[in-house]
Amino acid sequence: MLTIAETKFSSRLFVGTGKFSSATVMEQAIKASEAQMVTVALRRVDLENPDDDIMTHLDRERVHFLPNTSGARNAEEAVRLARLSRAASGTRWLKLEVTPDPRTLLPDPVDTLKATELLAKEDFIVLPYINADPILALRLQDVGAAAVMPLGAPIGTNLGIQTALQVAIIIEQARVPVVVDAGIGAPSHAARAMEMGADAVLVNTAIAVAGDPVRMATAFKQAVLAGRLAFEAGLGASSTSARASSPQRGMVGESLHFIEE
Amino acid sequence: MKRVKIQCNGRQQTLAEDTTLAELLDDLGLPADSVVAEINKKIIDRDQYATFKLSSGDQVELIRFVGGG
Amino acid sequence: MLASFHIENFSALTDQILAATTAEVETALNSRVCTLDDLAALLSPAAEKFLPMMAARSRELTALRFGKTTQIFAPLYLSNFCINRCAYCGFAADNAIPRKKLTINEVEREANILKQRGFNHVLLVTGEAPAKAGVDYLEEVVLRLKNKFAALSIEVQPMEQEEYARLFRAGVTAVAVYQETYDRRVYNQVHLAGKKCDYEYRIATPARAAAAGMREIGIGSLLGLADWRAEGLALGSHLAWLRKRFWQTNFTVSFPRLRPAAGAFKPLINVTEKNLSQLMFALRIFDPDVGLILSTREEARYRDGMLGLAPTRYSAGSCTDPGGYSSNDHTGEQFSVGDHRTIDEVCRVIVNKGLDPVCKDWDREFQLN
Repeated sequence: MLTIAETKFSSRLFVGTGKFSSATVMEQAIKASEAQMVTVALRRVDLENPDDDIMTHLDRERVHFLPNTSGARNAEEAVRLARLSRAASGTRWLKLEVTPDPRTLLPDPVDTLKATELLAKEDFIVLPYINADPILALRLQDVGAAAVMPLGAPIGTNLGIQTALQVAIIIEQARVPVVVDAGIGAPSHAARAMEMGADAVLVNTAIAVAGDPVRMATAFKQAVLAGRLAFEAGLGASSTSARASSPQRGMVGESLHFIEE
Repeated sequence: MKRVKIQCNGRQQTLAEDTTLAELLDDLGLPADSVVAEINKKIIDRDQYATFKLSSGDQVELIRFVGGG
Repeated sequence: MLASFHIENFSALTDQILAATTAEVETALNSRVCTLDDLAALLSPAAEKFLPMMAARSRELTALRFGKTTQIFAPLYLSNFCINRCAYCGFAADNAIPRKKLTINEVEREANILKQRGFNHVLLVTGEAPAKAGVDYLEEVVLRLKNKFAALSIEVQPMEQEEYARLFRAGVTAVAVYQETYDRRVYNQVHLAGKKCDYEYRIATPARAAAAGMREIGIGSLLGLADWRAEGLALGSHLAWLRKRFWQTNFTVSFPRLRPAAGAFKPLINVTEKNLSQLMFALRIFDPDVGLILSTREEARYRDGMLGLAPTRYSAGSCTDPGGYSSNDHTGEQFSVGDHRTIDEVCRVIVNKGLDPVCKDWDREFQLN
């Protein structure tokens, strides 16, 4: 079972709550996904529409809250948002996002590391969103990240796991769970990440903007289960050249005549 | 009667003297447990909302969760 | 407090390895990543008929990671005093051999000879006698030698993290500390007296040295004590465990093999050259990045044959008694050498095999302590 900071999750699908056409659709999609971890963002209350409160649509008995620091452009802003989110929700959990470039929304490695270290010391459970950089992932673990969230492709692009090679290294080296975040545009992308050994995936846009978000949420749920099952079952090796499926005894190897019997 | 002028979420607002944070939220139709208030960059504990009196020049930020990935 | 590495049940490792099938060996040989289960298959009797294929894969991975190079180093024995009684070792406390600890000037004389012969990486070796050759002595040696060599490694008694940190600051770049055997039962049987009897303290030592900031840690098993296949799997597990925790550290593995002919101790089990080869190929396939060291205990014929196949580092021209390079008046040696050739002779063979002998892989001048 997935365990992050000693909390157990029976679902390996995390769902984001942004971009849905209505709160009701979001509520139903989350229910269908069976996700136990949902992300939310912090914003100024819109004083013109004070009734628009997402919390009334989320059952905190059933889902775990993962507030993010979206909008933060540097470590300082992220820390401020983190403290606000803890005050607002009472949760120590945090998806740390530091995105100085509003066009690509790619995360800033330097300030992400800085903020993670600071927030971990303040007892936050920090899950930093990062580019798929294995060394950064290790440095973050060294300063107390509870999980790492490498991106598959830039956020909102639906391009899938473009960073597969790097993500594979991160997974191999990780001492904490690896959650593949961003870029997952189809259930097959989610399955691929899970087959590679990711501990969980986070999906938002692909569900929220689907023709039928509720059915798409179900599709992602099943893809994540299938991918995980395949990983646990042990995938056969892949090869770029053809390989006979029966053993080839005649394969040429090194001559080892120098070995004394 | 004396009035105090504050900034709330970027909007100028004039309040009666001795208005508390809880009263402000009530005026805005916001349940206290749905928002977090930051005044002059300092987070105010929820149990102080009823006693916290706003003063002229206060920068009030009312923040809450919205959908996000 | 550092977490520690454990082998729960050594004989279960043997059982797992012996159960491996031909199909599992083929899977392990063809996988992109090699898991511990794959390593078990590669160490199995079922893998023996694949040895030439394992060698080919091993050569490919070694060249890919290390290029066409072989690193060269020499041991420098500082002292043969030892408080331990290890049944297999020539330095054992109850062995009636002349004991000697080199003075700092004598160390320098030995070092000058190695330098003159072209060595730039020296492994400082002592028996385990902290009262005779403790951290103060080692620090003094290192401070004296550090400007002569690009890299200085130590193979001495296990120490505390603070002591390793001190030696690192003095200029030590690497620490070798071998478990000898991961089989606790055999470990207790061959370590008869001395601090080395403490299996737990020893197995936790590589982690202490890594935590102290050493650039490289060497682990190893002395082959001939317990089931070599299970030792291979234990080494692989230890290596993987260390890599997870000390991602900034380089690791090497050594496989000193007890030879029936060398000394009075008769190996508890016979490990052949074929076995040793399988072990090295399997570990290379399991961990393409690990440095593998082939000892001068092995004969020239075998060492030459293995060049480029899996090992990345050779000792050469070794004397295993303190003062042995500068004097013909030999004191007690630790083990007998199988390859007596000089560094030049060894380098010539390396070059003829199309490899580049590398005497300097890193310069401690770059190390900021």
